[in-house]
Amino acid sequence: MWPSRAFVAGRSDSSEAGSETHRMGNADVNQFGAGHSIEGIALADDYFELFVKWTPNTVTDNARRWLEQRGFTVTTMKSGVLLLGTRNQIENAFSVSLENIKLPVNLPVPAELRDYVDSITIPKPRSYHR
Amino acid sequence: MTRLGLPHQTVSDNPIPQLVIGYVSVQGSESVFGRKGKRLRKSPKAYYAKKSDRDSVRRDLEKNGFSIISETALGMSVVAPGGAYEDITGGELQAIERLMYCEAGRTQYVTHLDIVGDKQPTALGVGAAKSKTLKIDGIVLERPRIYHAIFPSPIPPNSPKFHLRVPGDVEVALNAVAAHQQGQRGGGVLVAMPDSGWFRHPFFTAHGYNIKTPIAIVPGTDRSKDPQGHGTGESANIFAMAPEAVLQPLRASNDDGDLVGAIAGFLKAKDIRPKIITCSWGGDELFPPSSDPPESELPFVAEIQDAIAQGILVVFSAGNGQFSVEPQAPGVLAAGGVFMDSNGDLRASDYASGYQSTWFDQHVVPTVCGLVGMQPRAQYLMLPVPPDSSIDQDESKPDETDPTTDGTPGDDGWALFSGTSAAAPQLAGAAALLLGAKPNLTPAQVIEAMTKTATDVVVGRSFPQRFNNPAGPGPDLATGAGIINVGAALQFAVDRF
Repeated sequence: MWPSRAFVAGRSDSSEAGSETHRMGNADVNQFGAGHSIEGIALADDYFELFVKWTPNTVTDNARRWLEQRGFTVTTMKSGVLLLGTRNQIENAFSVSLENIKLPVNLPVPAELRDYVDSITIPKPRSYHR
Repeated sequence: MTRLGLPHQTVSDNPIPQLVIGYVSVQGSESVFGRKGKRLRKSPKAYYAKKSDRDSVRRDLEKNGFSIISETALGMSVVAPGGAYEDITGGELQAIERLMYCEAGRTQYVTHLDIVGDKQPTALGVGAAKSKTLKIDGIVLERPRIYHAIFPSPIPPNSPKFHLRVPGDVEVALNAVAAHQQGQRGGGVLVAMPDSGWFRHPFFTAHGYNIKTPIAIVPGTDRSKDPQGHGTGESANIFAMAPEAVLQPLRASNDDGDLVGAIAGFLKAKDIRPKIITCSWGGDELFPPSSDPPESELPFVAEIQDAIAQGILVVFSAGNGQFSVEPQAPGVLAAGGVFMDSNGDLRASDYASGYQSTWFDQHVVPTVCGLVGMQPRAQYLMLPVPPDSSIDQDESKPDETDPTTDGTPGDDGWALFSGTSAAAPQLAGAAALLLGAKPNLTPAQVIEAMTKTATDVVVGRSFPQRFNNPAGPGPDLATGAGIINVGAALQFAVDRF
C-alpha cells in the first residue's frame, strides 16, 4: 500500500517509494556493457536528462558545440553541463541503445569528447511528491 | 460582463499560433472603420475597392508571406504567420483572454489575438497598415479561438470528505491571518516553482494573484498547459501564505505530464534569480541507505548548494515514503507533513517521509512541516487543477488503495489531494511572507525563524511502511521541529534579525 504514484520517466524507471530493487552507491551506477538489467521501454521521442562532467583544466567550447550540434539542450552546471535530449538523440550521439535501460547509467564517452569529458551519466528520474 | 468578480479581460499564456487567419479590408471611397458613433452606410457600395487597388494589395500581401483564401469587392480573407501581420502593420501580435458566453450556457475565458503598438487602433483584433502607400483600409484578426473546453469555477466544489480549502483554511491552520491583516503578504517576493506546468485557472485570476507567464523547459511543450495538474494545484498553497508573492512557474514535464526535465527546470529557476525555489518532487533511493549518496546525484546536490550559497532559499518536499537526496542536501528547507483534523488536533502524517540522513551531517528530514493528509491517498486539500487533467480524473475515481473518491467530477477543474508536495509550497509561501517583511533575511535565518517557532507535534508516525519514526515532545524524526506557525515566525524574524 504505497501512497506515492509510480512515475515512469522515459517509461524506463521503477523508482516507486519503497521499491528497493536498485543497489545504489558510488560503485553501483550501471555501466554500459556490464550486463545491466532490463526495465521497460523508452520511446524514441522520450526526453532524458544527462550529467556531463568535464575533465579538469580544459576549455570546453568544442565539446559544448559538439553536443549542441547533436540537438541537446545544454545548460551549464558547476562541474559540467546538463543535457536534455531525446532517446533518439542520445542513441545517435553516444552510439548506445537505451531500449530497456535501467537508471542511473553511465554512457561511454565518444572519442571526440575524451579530452574534455570525464563521465556522462543519466541519473534516476524524479517523481511528484503528491 | 463579469462573473464572480472575474475581470472581463486578463493576460494569456497561450502562444501565438503558427498561422493566423485574418481579413484585410482594401481602401474604398470610404473606410469601413468609421469614426466613433458613426454607423456603416446601408449600402456597401462606398466601401467597394477599385480592382487595381485590390490587385495592388494582393501583390503586397503575397510578397509579405500572406496566402489569400478568398476575395470580394471589399477585401480578402487571408492566412499568414504572426510575423507577417507584424511586418505589414509595424505592430505586435498579443494574446489576451476575454470572458465570453459560450456553448452549453457556460461562461469561459477565450483566447483572442490583438495587434498592439503606438500607431495601432485600440479596438480588439484590429490593426492598421504601417505604410499609407499600401491600399489597406485595415486588418481584422480572426476571433475568437476557444482553447479551454470547460470553464472551471473559481469557487471550489463541496465534497463529503473532510478537507481544507485554499486559501482560507490553510491560512487559518498555519496562523497567517494576523500577519496578512497587518499587511505582511509577501509583496513582490519572487518564488520559482519547477513542476508539471501551470494553467491559468480562474481561481488564481479571481484572487488577483501575480503569476508570470510559465517557462517551458522541455522542447516542443506548451507553456500554457499542465497535463498533470500537479504544478497548478500545489502552487495555490504558496498564495494561501503569501497572497502578494510573485510566482514564476516552470513547466518541466513532457506532453504526458512525466517530470522529464526536473533538474533542467531547477537550473533555469536559478537563472532567473528568485528569492525562493520550491520543488515538490524528488528521486528515491534504497533505505536504509548505502554509506555514501549515489555518485550520480552529486552534481545536482552541488547545484542545490550553489543556489543556497547565492542566497536563494531552496525548499524540497520530504517525500511520501520516498528517500530522496534532495531534501537531505545541507541548507535545504525540507518540508514534511502534519495532519490537522476538524477539531484542530495535530498528528504526524503517516503519508509523509521522516528520517535522519546518514549522508549529510545527520540532517533531519523534514526540517519543519506543512499541512498534509493521511493514508491511503492524502485527499485533504481542495486544489484548482486544469479540467480533465490527470489529477482531476485520478482523484475522482477509486484506486487500488482506496475505494472512495474525492467527491468531485473528473472534469470540473478541482481535486482533493496533498502530499508533501503541498507542504513545500506552503513553506515557500511562508518564507515569502517573512522575506516580504525582512528582505535581507538569509536562507538560514528564514529556516531558523520557522523552526524556532514551530508548533510541536507529539502524536503520529512518519510513513510507517518504511520509516515509522514517532512524533514526540521536542524535535523528532517524524515532523522535525513541528508545524509552521507563520505569525510567530514573522515576529521572531522581526525581533531577532
